[in-house]
Amino acid sequence: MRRRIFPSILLSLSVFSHLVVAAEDTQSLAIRAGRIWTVTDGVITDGVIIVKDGKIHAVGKEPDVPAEAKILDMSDKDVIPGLIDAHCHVGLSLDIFAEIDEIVSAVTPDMQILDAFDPLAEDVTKARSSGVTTVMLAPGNKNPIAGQTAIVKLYGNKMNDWVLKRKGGVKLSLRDEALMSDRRPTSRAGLMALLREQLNEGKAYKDDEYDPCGEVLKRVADGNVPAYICACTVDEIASAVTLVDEYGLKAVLIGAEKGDEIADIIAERDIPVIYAPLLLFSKDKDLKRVVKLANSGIKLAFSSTAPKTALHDLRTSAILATKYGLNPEVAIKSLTIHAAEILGIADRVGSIEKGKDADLVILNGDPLQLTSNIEMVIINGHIVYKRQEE
Amino acid sequence: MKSRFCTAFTAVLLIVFVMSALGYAGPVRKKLAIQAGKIITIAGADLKNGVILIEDGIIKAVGTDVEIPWDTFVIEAKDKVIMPGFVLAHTSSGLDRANENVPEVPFLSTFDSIDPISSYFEDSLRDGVVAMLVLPGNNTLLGGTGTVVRPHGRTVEAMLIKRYTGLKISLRPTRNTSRMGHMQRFRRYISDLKDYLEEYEQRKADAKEEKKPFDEEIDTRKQPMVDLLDEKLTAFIYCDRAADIPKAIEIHKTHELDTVLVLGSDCYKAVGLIAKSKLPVILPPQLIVWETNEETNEEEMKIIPMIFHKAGVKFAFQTDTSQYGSRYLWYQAATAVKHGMKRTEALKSITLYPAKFIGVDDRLGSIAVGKEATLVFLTGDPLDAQAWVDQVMIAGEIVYEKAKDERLKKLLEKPDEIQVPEDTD
Amino acid sequence: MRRYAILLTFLLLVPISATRGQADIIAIKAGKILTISGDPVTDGVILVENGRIAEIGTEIEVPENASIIDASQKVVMPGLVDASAVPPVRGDLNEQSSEITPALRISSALDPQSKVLKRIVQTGVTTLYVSPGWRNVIGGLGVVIKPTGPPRRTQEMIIKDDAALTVVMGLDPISGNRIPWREPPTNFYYRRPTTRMAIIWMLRKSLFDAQQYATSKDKEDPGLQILCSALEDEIPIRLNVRRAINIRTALKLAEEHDLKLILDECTEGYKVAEEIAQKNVPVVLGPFYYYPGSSSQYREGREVNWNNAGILANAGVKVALASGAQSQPIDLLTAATFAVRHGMPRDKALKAITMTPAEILGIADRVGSLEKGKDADILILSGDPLKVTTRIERVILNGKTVHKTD
Repeated sequence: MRRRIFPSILLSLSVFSHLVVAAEDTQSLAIRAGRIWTVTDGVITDGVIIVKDGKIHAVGKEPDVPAEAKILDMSDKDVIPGLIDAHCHVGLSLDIFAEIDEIVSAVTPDMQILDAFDPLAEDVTKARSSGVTTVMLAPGNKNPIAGQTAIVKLYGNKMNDWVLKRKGGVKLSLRDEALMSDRRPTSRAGLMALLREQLNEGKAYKDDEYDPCGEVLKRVADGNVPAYICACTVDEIASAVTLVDEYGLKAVLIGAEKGDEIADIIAERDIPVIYAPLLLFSKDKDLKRVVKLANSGIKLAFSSTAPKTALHDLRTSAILATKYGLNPEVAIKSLTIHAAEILGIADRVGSIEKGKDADLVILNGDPLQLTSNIEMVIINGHIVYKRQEE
Repeated sequence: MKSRFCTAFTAVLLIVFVMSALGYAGPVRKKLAIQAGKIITIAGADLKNGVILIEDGIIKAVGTDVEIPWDTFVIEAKDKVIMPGFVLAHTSSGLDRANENVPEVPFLSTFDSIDPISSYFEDSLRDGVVAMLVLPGNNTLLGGTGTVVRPHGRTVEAMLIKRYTGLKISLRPTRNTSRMGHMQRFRRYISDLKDYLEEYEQRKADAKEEKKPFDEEIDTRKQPMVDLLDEKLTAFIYCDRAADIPKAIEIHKTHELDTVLVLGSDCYKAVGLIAKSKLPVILPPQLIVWETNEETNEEEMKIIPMIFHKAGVKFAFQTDTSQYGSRYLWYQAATAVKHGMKRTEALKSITLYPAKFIGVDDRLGSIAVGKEATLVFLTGDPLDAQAWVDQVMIAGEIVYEKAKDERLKKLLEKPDEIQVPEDTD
Repeated sequence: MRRYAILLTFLLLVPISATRGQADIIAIKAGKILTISGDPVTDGVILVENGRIAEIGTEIEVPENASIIDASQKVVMPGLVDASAVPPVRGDLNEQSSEITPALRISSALDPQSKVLKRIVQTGVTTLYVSPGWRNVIGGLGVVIKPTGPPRRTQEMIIKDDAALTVVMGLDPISGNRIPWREPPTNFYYRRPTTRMAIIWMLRKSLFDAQQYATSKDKEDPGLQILCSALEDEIPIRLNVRRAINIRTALKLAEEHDLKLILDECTEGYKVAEEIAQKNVPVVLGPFYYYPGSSSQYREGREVNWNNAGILANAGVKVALASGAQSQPIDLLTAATFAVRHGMPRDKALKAITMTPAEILGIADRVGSLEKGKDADILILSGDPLKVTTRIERVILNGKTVHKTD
């Protein structure tokens, strides 16, 4: 008798908890859309996306619609995957310039940016209307070795829902901003010497004597963890490439504004690029650069460096790029699947495919037109933004 | 008695004979002749193996077949090139301070602050400059009047060529003032001055009417500006940037001033306006400016004398106190020739034109009958860097000789044995 | 059939147009060639192939497919070698966090897009040496580069890395000693030397540490490793000195440690010319300053002699004239022209901006004279290079025209 009661109690408890959890689960959705931009499998016209348990359960012309699904009629709208901002500083502080750079010491690989992230920050809430659903958070450019990046979603009930990666990769900076007058390095030559020194220490690190910095540096130096290198001018990018050649880093370039001038060198080494934001007031000749990069076979993602610029500028960057010749398909991919592949989260986001997270953006027109408005944003199956009619 | 007188007389004759034979250039000789290998007259064609006759410091004759009178002291210069001494139309060096703290001080004169001992004058003479207009600096709105001096003399009086020459106006805003404020200051000064003159004339007229004596003079502090408005003084207007040129031209036209433009390095951008105004121009010391072409990102050399030369503007060169090059007037001319300027024009820009701009071309700037015998003896072509100023003659008197230049010797020759310290280890 | 004919013609034309476009062989017909390595050649021809000088002389056969540059009224000389040029580097030239930074490589901070490179080419310089700054007692390693464009990677410009170690015995390391405004007093500016004694002490200490390191290596130290190489003459030392007393100290130090020394700036070198000549130490002179700019230059550079180059050269010292890494650099042809004016022999002055710096930098096998086999770095001038009125009309670098005036 006792034996049977115990398991049944367990069973009912688990069922009960499951029900409780189920109560918290998102409602299933069936989104009827005029055009579904799957990204990986073309555009489906007049299709339906089934969302269940926060994931894309099915997508097609006539999938099976579950009984309990709430039907959203978006038959004249476009649906795209949630956009991915591959490098920004959203939600990091009230005064962004203060909190993303720990400049007292030049080398802080053990710092984790996620520790500074406030999911309830105002700019995160406001950002949801931008269509960006996943971002990589990174420290600033004032430290040569700034810390570890993190990848988060702009919505989640529990911490696990927010965070895709606590330790994404390590941010390195080759910019003039990293030079200070009161701590090492003060010169560009000193900056390169410092980076080489640290990477050498990383290579030589043995874990019998635990050192948090050394451990991280080792992973970077051995190419096991991405090195996100911020480099914008030609000589900075060339220096980054030199480090890649010398140490075999698994590098991703951040910024790379003038990268088109040595695009072949970047492409040769298959280094992906997270490009700096393209702005409406940028010069024509600068806006053409990203096109040359993409045409050289380099995998591209866009970034906004929010809140320095707005997250909404992410889509604007892609639109401006197409204006100057970027293939529209490549533009969409750079906002979604390419960014996901570069950040190593393509198993979860970046396209509308069965099994991936239900991160969707619904627009009232072509996503690559400035005139198209974002009507609704869904993250992990939750409707996090709905455009109010004025 | 008679024999003693005879001995004395013979002795004196002997001494005079010996002294003249040895070429003792003691007292200024009344009559001189220079036999030159080459004479660059500037006024006309160059002369080979020419002769210049000088009497009382004035050129009496110049040519290739000039007869030398029997009582003339001859200077042999068959291996030299003779040309007029160089003239500098604008400088603020050689003063104890180039600028006054107060912006409006037109009543000051550089005559009172020229320092004859300044090494600037010694260097200038060594480099062949025989006349310079010393004006106040570029940081005072109405700086004061200038003085034309020669770089030779123990006192300013001894150096003096012409007093009360030129009034310096600078369009560079004084410290803590904007350009707006600076221009407004100038306009207000003029308007206040005009009010003062009106009242003065009124008082004069009233006195005349009342048949009363009128012996009030115009305030001496205002006199220079009054003379400026009456075109008795030339305005030397310094323009820092191209944007100052239209203002300078406006000042020139509105008040009908006799004007010379003194340019900063940026002013070449307004060459069109300057050419149209037909005003004489003094170029900045820095003749080459680098500009980045916005489109191609290439670095382009802007050659300032050529930009003005091609636009038909007449100009004079300036120098600065840097090492090498722009320190020397001949170098400035040579730089212009390097980039395409005609040699004769370039040489005029360091002699005749600056003399004209500062109003001393009646006596300086070229070798012509009636002008002062103020010349430089060069060891070679003036535009050749290997040529040196061997001697400088001012009004018939040799005032500089390279062979006797002790300072130059020290700068060029190996010093005497230096004591090598004993090794203590 | 017709189609094939057209195709065939097209295929034949393509390689021809390709070679014509490349212009692999260039023939320069020159009125006067100053080879620097030998006597001048009148009415000669220089054949350039693949960026090198293939032939040079008066009886040269010009190949059919050569593109011809007519310089028959001009003077041709080698591209100039600048042994101390304004660095094409952004920001600070000194790593100020320490006074001894031997492992600092200025080559990792070169900016190929720098305006400096574009300008220096127009003054005729085809090879230049870039040094770390003079604020550190041991500043780091310099590099020899060619200003090749288009600007991409610095690796493409470098022809000799780790070319020399910059050491300073002048007063520059004490001149930066002021705390930046608003910075806390506990920063490294306080640690820096404030006297000449201290500078020389730091230098001696570093050499001592290097000697210790050479015998017992417990931990890898790249800085000391470089100093060891210097002690073993593998890396020459570029020593910045101005005053005669310092030059003597430098020569003495060099003898003590058997260092391979090159003296930089050497403002009072004329006072100790014989001693320098005796020790066979070459000298790189920058422009002299009659009214010097920086305070350290002023303290140490007041007893100038305009004929420093001439006096040193006549005493038998190897003299190179450089543009000077200071803020008011001078172009090399002007430097040579004025050196001759002040008393340097003409041939030595021309060598001082070509062959001599090439020898001092250790790249004389490649540049510095117009000889068969060397890099085709060629200047075409409107006349005698030592005349102010002479213009540089064309600059050829590695066989390619990189600058031309109309």
